[in-house]
Amino acid sequence: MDNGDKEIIELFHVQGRKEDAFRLLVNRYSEKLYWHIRKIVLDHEDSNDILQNMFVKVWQGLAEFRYEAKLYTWMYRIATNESLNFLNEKKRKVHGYSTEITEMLENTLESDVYFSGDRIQLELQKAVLRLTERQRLIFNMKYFDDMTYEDIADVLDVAVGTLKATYHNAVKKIEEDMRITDSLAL
Amino acid sequence: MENFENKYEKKNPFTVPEGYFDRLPEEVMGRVEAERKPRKVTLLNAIKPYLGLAAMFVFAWVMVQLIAPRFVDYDRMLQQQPEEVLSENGEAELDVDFNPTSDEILEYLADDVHDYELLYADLY
Repeated sequence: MDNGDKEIIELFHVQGRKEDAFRLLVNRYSEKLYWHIRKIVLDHEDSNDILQNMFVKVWQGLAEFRYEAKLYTWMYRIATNESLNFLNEKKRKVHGYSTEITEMLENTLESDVYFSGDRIQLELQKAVLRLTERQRLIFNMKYFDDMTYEDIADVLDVAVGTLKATYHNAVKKIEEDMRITDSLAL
Repeated sequence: MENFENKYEKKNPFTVPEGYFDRLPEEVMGRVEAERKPRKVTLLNAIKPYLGLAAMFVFAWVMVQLIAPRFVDYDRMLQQQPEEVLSENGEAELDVDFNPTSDEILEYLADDVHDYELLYADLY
Protein backbone atom coordinates (compact mmCIF):
# COMPACT_ATOMS: atom_id res chain seq x y z
CA MET A 1 0.00 0.00 0.00
CA ASP A 2 1.10 3.57 -0.74
CA ASN A 3 2.81 5.20 2.26
CA GLY A 4 0.40 8.13 2.31
CA ASP A 5 -2.58 5.77 2.36
CA LYS A 6 -0.97 3.71 5.12
CA GLU A 7 -0.49 6.82 7.26
CA ILE A 8 -4.12 7.79 6.71
CA ILE A 9 -5.36 4.38 7.80
CA GLU A 10 -3.11 4.35 10.85
CA LEU A 11 -4.25 7.83 11.82
CA PHE A 12 -7.87 6.74 11.41
CA HIS A 13 -7.34 4.10 14.10
CA VAL A 14 -5.85 6.57 16.58
CA GLN A 15 -8.35 7.61 19.25
CA GLY A 16 -9.79 11.06 18.45
CA ARG A 17 -8.03 11.43 15.06
CA LYS A 18 -10.62 9.78 12.83
CA GLU A 19 -11.85 13.04 11.37
CA ASP A 20 -8.34 14.32 10.66
CA ALA A 21 -7.52 11.11 8.83
CA PHE A 22 -10.71 11.23 6.84
CA ARG A 23 -10.13 14.84 5.88
CA LEU A 24 -6.73 13.84 4.47
CA LEU A 25 -8.37 11.05 2.53
CA VAL A 26 -11.03 13.37 1.07
CA ASN A 27 -8.42 15.98 0.11
CA ARG A 28 -6.32 13.34 -1.56
CA TYR A 29 -8.96 11.49 -3.56
CA SER A 30 -12.15 13.51 -3.97
CA GLU A 31 -11.19 15.07 -7.30
CA LYS A 32 -9.91 11.83 -8.84
CA LEU A 33 -13.00 9.95 -7.75
CA TYR A 34 -15.27 12.73 -8.94
CA TRP A 35 -13.90 12.39 -12.49
CA HIS A 36 -14.22 8.63 -12.39
CA ILE A 37 -17.88 8.94 -11.40
CA ARG A 38 -18.51 11.79 -13.85
CA LYS A 39 -17.30 9.68 -16.77
CA ILE A 40 -19.80 6.99 -15.84
CA VAL A 41 -22.93 9.07 -15.13
CA LEU A 42 -21.93 12.24 -17.11
CA ASP A 43 -24.16 14.72 -15.25
CA HIS A 44 -22.34 17.00 -12.78
CA GLU A 45 -25.07 17.15 -10.11
CA ASP A 46 -25.53 13.38 -10.17
CA SER A 47 -21.78 12.90 -9.91
CA ASN A 48 -21.63 15.21 -6.90
CA ASP A 49 -24.43 13.29 -5.12
CA ILE A 50 -22.86 9.92 -5.85
CA LEU A 51 -19.44 11.12 -4.68
CA GLN A 52 -20.84 12.29 -1.35
CA ASN A 53 -22.79 9.06 -0.82
CA MET A 54 -19.66 7.15 -1.71
CA PHE A 55 -17.60 8.98 0.91
CA VAL A 56 -20.26 8.25 3.54
CA LYS A 57 -19.84 4.55 2.70
CA VAL A 58 -16.06 4.88 2.85
CA TRP A 59 -16.37 6.48 6.29
CA GLN A 60 -18.61 3.64 7.46
CA GLY A 61 -16.34 0.93 6.05
CA LEU A 62 -12.89 2.35 6.70
CA ALA A 63 -12.59 0.83 10.18
CA GLU A 64 -12.88 -2.65 8.64
CA PHE A 65 -10.60 -1.91 5.69
CA ARG A 66 -7.86 -4.53 5.35
CA TYR A 67 -4.28 -3.51 4.65
CA GLU A 68 -3.70 -6.07 1.90
CA ALA A 69 -5.92 -4.14 -0.53
CA LYS A 70 -5.06 -0.76 -2.03
CA LEU A 71 -7.08 2.01 -0.47
CA TYR A 72 -7.69 3.86 -3.70
CA THR A 73 -8.75 0.79 -5.72
CA TRP A 74 -11.14 -0.08 -2.87
CA MET A 75 -12.65 3.41 -3.13
CA TYR A 76 -12.77 3.18 -6.93
CA ARG A 77 -14.73 -0.03 -6.57
CA ILE A 78 -17.27 1.62 -4.27
CA ALA A 79 -17.53 4.60 -6.65
CA THR A 80 -18.03 2.31 -9.65
CA ASN A 81 -20.74 0.27 -7.96
CA GLU A 82 -22.53 3.37 -6.69
CA SER A 83 -22.46 4.92 -10.17
CA LEU A 84 -23.75 1.82 -11.95
CA ASN A 85 -26.51 1.35 -9.36
CA PHE A 86 -27.45 4.99 -9.81
CA LEU A 87 -27.72 4.62 -13.60
CA ASN A 88 -29.90 1.51 -13.35
CA GLU A 89 -32.14 3.16 -10.77
CA LYS A 90 -32.43 6.36 -12.84
CA LYS A 91 -33.31 4.40 -15.95
CA ARG A 92 -35.99 2.47 -14.07
CA LYS A 93 -37.47 5.53 -12.35
CA VAL A 94 -37.34 8.15 -15.09
CA HIS A 95 -37.37 6.23 -18.34
CA GLY A 96 -38.91 2.85 -17.53
CA TYR A 97 -37.89 -0.15 -19.59
CA SER A 98 -38.35 1.49 -22.99
CA THR A 99 -35.01 3.34 -22.97
CA GLU A 100 -31.50 1.93 -23.02
CA ILE A 101 -28.87 3.42 -20.72
CA THR A 102 -26.79 4.39 -23.79
CA GLU A 103 -29.66 6.44 -25.19
CA MET A 104 -30.29 8.06 -21.81
CA LEU A 105 -26.59 8.99 -21.46
CA GLU A 106 -26.37 10.37 -25.01
CA ASN A 107 -29.23 12.72 -24.15
CA THR A 108 -27.43 13.73 -20.94
CA LEU A 109 -24.21 14.38 -22.88
CA GLU A 110 -25.89 16.51 -25.52
CA SER A 111 -27.65 18.69 -22.95
CA ASP A 112 -24.67 18.96 -20.56
CA VAL A 113 -23.82 22.60 -19.87
CA TYR A 114 -20.52 21.50 -18.31
CA PHE A 115 -19.15 19.99 -21.50
CA SER A 116 -16.54 22.12 -23.27
CA GLY A 117 -15.19 19.67 -25.82
CA ASP A 118 -15.16 20.23 -29.59
CA ARG A 119 -17.07 18.16 -32.17
CA ILE A 120 -14.43 15.39 -32.30
CA GLN A 121 -14.39 15.08 -28.51
CA LEU A 122 -18.18 14.94 -28.44
CA GLU A 123 -18.19 12.19 -31.06
CA LEU A 124 -15.48 10.32 -29.14
CA GLN A 125 -17.57 10.46 -25.96
CA LYS A 126 -20.62 9.23 -27.88
CA ALA A 127 -18.59 6.36 -29.32
CA VAL A 128 -17.45 5.47 -25.77
CA LEU A 129 -21.10 5.44 -24.70
CA ARG A 130 -21.90 2.89 -27.40
CA LEU A 131 -19.46 0.38 -25.87
CA THR A 132 -20.71 -2.27 -23.51
CA GLU A 133 -20.79 -1.26 -19.83
CA ARG A 134 -17.63 -3.21 -19.02
CA GLN A 135 -15.77 -1.96 -22.12
CA ARG A 136 -16.70 1.60 -21.22
CA LEU A 137 -15.45 1.27 -17.64
CA ILE A 138 -12.18 -0.32 -18.73
CA PHE A 139 -11.63 2.16 -21.55
CA ASN A 140 -12.20 5.18 -19.30
CA MET A 141 -9.95 3.90 -16.52
CA LYS A 142 -7.15 2.96 -18.92
CA TYR A 143 -7.34 5.73 -21.47
CA PHE A 144 -8.45 8.78 -19.51
CA ASP A 145 -7.40 7.91 -15.93
CA ASP A 146 -4.10 6.22 -16.94
CA MET A 147 -4.63 3.41 -14.48
CA THR A 148 -2.52 0.26 -14.68
CA TYR A 149 -4.15 -3.01 -15.73
CA GLU A 150 -3.34 -4.39 -12.28
CA ASP A 151 -5.24 -1.62 -10.55
CA ILE A 152 -8.21 -1.90 -12.94
CA ALA A 153 -8.21 -5.65 -12.30
CA ASP A 154 -8.36 -4.90 -8.58
CA VAL A 155 -11.30 -2.51 -9.02
CA LEU A 156 -13.38 -4.68 -11.34
CA ASP A 157 -12.25 -8.07 -10.09
CA VAL A 158 -11.34 -9.19 -13.62
CA ALA A 159 -8.18 -10.99 -14.80
CA VAL A 160 -5.51 -8.76 -16.40
CA GLY A 161 -5.53 -10.83 -19.63
CA THR A 162 -9.27 -10.31 -20.00
CA LEU A 163 -8.84 -6.57 -19.38
CA LYS A 164 -6.21 -6.24 -22.10
CA ALA A 165 -8.41 -8.03 -24.61
CA THR A 166 -11.46 -5.96 -23.62
CA TYR A 167 -9.52 -2.70 -23.91
CA HIS A 168 -8.18 -3.69 -27.32
CA ASN A 169 -11.69 -4.52 -28.55
CA ALA A 170 -13.04 -1.26 -27.12
CA VAL A 171 -10.43 0.80 -28.99
CA LYS A 172 -11.17 -1.05 -32.25
CA LYS A 173 -14.89 -0.48 -31.80
CA ILE A 174 -14.41 3.25 -31.12
CA GLU A 175 -12.12 3.62 -34.17
CA GLU A 176 -14.72 1.96 -36.36
CA ASP A 177 -17.49 4.11 -34.91
CA MET A 178 -15.45 7.29 -35.44
CA ARG A 179 -14.66 6.29 -39.04
CA ILE A 180 -18.37 5.91 -39.79
CA THR A 181 -19.13 9.26 -38.11
CA ASP A 182 -16.37 10.96 -40.14
CA SER A 183 -17.61 9.52 -43.42
CA LEU A 184 -21.16 10.66 -42.66
CA ALA A 185 -19.91 14.17 -41.81
CA LEU A 186 -18.15 14.55 -45.19
CA MET B 1 -3.15 1.71 -30.47
CA GLU B 2 -0.51 4.48 -30.47
CA ASN B 3 -2.16 5.81 -33.59
CA PHE B 4 -5.44 6.03 -31.71
CA GLU B 5 -3.85 7.91 -28.82
CA ASN B 6 -2.20 10.36 -31.23
CA LYS B 7 -5.41 10.93 -33.10
CA TYR B 8 -7.67 11.54 -30.11
CA GLU B 9 -5.99 13.52 -27.38
CA LYS B 10 -6.71 12.54 -23.80
CA LYS B 11 -8.00 15.97 -22.89
CA ASN B 12 -10.91 15.90 -20.44
CA PRO B 13 -13.83 17.65 -22.19
CA PHE B 14 -15.96 17.88 -19.05
CA THR B 15 -15.94 20.90 -16.76
CA VAL B 16 -17.34 21.75 -13.31
CA PRO B 17 -18.86 24.92 -11.80
CA GLU B 18 -16.26 27.48 -10.78
CA GLY B 19 -14.61 26.79 -7.43
CA TYR B 20 -16.30 23.39 -7.16
CA PHE B 21 -13.15 21.48 -6.21
CA ASP B 22 -12.20 24.11 -3.63
CA ARG B 23 -15.53 23.61 -1.84
CA LEU B 24 -15.73 19.85 -2.36
CA PRO B 25 -13.72 18.60 0.65
CA GLU B 26 -15.75 20.78 3.05
CA GLU B 27 -19.03 19.64 1.44
CA VAL B 28 -18.03 16.01 1.74
CA MET B 29 -16.93 16.44 5.37
CA GLY B 30 -20.23 18.19 6.14
CA ARG B 31 -22.19 15.34 4.61
CA VAL B 32 -20.22 12.71 6.53
CA GLU B 33 -20.66 14.72 9.74
CA ALA B 34 -24.42 14.88 9.17
CA GLU B 35 -24.53 11.09 8.75
CA ARG B 36 -22.54 10.56 11.94
CA LYS B 37 -24.88 12.53 14.20
CA PRO B 38 -27.66 10.38 15.58
CA ARG B 39 -30.98 11.67 14.37
CA LYS B 40 -33.14 13.20 17.12
CA VAL B 41 -36.22 11.13 17.84
CA THR B 42 -39.10 13.34 18.91
CA LEU B 43 -42.05 11.99 20.87
CA LEU B 44 -44.30 12.56 17.87
CA ASN B 45 -41.97 10.59 15.60
CA ALA B 46 -41.74 7.77 18.12
CA ILE B 47 -45.50 7.31 18.47
CA LYS B 48 -46.35 8.02 14.83
CA PRO B 49 -46.67 4.34 13.82
CA TYR B 50 -48.97 3.63 16.78
CA LEU B 51 -51.08 6.70 16.04
CA GLY B 52 -51.48 5.49 12.50
CA LEU B 53 -52.58 2.07 13.67
CA ALA B 54 -55.07 3.55 16.16
CA ALA B 55 -56.49 5.85 13.47
CA MET B 56 -56.94 2.85 11.21
CA PHE B 57 -58.95 0.96 13.86
CA VAL B 58 -61.11 4.00 14.63
CA PHE B 59 -61.79 4.46 10.93
CA ALA B 60 -62.72 0.80 10.54
CA TRP B 61 -65.06 0.98 13.57
CA VAL B 62 -66.77 4.14 12.25
CA MET B 63 -67.21 2.55 8.83
CA VAL B 64 -68.80 -0.54 10.38
CA GLN B 65 -71.15 1.66 12.42
CA LEU B 66 -72.15 3.62 9.35
CA ILE B 67 -72.46 0.80 6.88
CA ALA B 68 -73.76 -2.15 8.93
CA PRO B 69 -77.29 -0.74 9.63
CA ARG B 70 -77.90 -0.45 5.89
CA PHE B 71 -77.42 -4.16 5.36
CA VAL B 72 -78.92 -5.67 8.55
CA ASP B 73 -82.73 -5.83 9.02
CA TYR B 74 -83.12 -6.26 12.80
CA ASP B 75 -86.97 -6.47 12.71
CA ARG B 76 -86.85 -9.35 10.27
CA MET B 77 -84.24 -11.11 12.39
CA LEU B 78 -86.43 -10.83 15.51
CA GLN B 79 -89.48 -12.19 13.70
CA GLN B 80 -87.62 -15.12 12.24
CA GLN B 81 -85.60 -16.03 15.31
CA PRO B 82 -88.00 -18.62 16.98
CA GLU B 83 -88.35 -20.59 13.77
CA GLU B 84 -84.72 -20.35 12.80
CA VAL B 85 -83.06 -21.45 16.06
CA LEU B 86 -82.65 -25.17 15.58
CA SER B 87 -81.13 -27.85 17.70
CA GLU B 88 -78.31 -30.05 16.51
CA ASN B 89 -80.64 -32.63 14.93
CA GLY B 90 -82.40 -29.91 13.00
CA GLU B 91 -85.61 -29.71 15.10
CA ALA B 92 -86.91 -26.46 16.49
CA GLU B 93 -85.91 -25.96 20.11
CA LEU B 94 -88.77 -23.61 20.88
CA ASP B 95 -92.39 -24.47 20.17
CA VAL B 96 -94.45 -21.32 20.16
CA ASP B 97 -97.71 -23.35 20.22
CA PHE B 98 -96.80 -25.09 23.50
CA ASN B 99 -99.05 -23.53 26.19
CA PRO B 100 -99.72 -26.03 29.09
CA THR B 101 -102.52 -25.56 31.62
CA SER B 102 -101.90 -25.50 35.44
CA ASP B 103 -103.17 -29.09 35.82
CA GLU B 104 -100.77 -30.30 33.14
CA ILE B 105 -97.89 -28.64 34.95
CA LEU B 106 -98.84 -30.23 38.32
CA GLU B 107 -99.20 -33.63 36.67
CA TYR B 108 -95.77 -33.27 35.10
CA LEU B 109 -94.23 -32.35 38.43
CA ALA B 110 -96.02 -35.21 40.25
CA ASP B 111 -94.57 -37.73 37.77
CA ASP B 112 -91.16 -36.48 38.65
CA VAL B 113 -91.43 -37.26 42.43
CA HIS B 114 -89.17 -40.15 43.39
CA ASP B 115 -89.85 -42.92 45.91
CA TYR B 116 -87.19 -41.76 48.39
CA GLU B 117 -88.88 -38.35 48.48
CA LEU B 118 -92.22 -39.98 49.51
CA LEU B 119 -90.39 -41.98 52.20
CA TYR B 120 -88.76 -38.83 53.47
CA ALA B 121 -92.21 -37.10 53.64
CA ASP B 122 -93.69 -40.05 55.69
CA LEU B 123 -90.85 -39.95 58.22
CA TYR B 124 -91.08 -36.25 58.93
